[in-house]
Amino acid sequence: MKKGLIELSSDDLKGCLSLSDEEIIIAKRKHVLVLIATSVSILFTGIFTTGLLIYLLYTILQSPPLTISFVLIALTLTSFAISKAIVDWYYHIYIVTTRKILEVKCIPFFADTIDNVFLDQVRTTEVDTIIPSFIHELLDIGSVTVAFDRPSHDEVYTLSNIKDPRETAKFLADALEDLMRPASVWFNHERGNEITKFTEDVFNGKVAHA
Amino acid sequence: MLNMTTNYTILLLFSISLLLIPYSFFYKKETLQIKSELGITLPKPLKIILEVNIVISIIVSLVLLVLILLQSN
Repeated sequence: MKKGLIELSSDDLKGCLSLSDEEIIIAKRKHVLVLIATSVSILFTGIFTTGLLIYLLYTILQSPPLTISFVLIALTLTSFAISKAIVDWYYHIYIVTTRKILEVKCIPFFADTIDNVFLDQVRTTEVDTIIPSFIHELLDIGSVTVAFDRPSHDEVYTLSNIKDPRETAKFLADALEDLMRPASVWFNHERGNEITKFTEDVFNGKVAHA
Repeated sequence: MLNMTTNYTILLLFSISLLLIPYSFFYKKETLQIKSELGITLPKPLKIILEVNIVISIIVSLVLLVLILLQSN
């Protein structure tokens, strides 16, 4: 267990461990700078709107009551939007355990998304790091994508805008390889010589070993 | 005419601010409910921010109410 990869306290993570012999490998939120950037952009929009309202209503229309009313509402909405951004950031969590990958995204009053991928039902085909720009490189922000082959379809799971993406991807790739080899249905170590195995092809009633 | 429009606009903004009171209250309640469902502890500053939102919306409503009363006199 690497300490830098677990950003939540052990008490917070207790509720996410629902399966037997499950241990946390990675628990991260989006980088705190993502929250700061969102909050600053909301704040600037609020200040700009307030300034514009003061100019229009006080300077042009010369109506102090209207100016006070609009400015108060604009500042209230700005304060609400910033607190919403903080709560949304706080409740968006990526968790990788020895049994599953979990993304929790709860936006109070608006939406809840809980995305679970059980690692014994999939095969990892790629773990990629995406650092899209020079600024992201400087601030050590990036995304890690994990591509899965499910028996029914392919799926890409993304840990977006997290801190230290390279280290996370490297650790995740090693951990997933170690975890999947004995557990996944795709590798099939513990099965007998049955013709129903996924790793075998059947031609004319005979089994051709993969 | 302008005075009439001002009065109605302030009344509209007052009704918006009134709507913000239950919104901020239920937003806090919903956030705390998610906290109990997920088992993730909510830090104290975040709780304070949510409470401050409720107080702000109440104060803004009161100020707008005072403005409406002043305008009507």
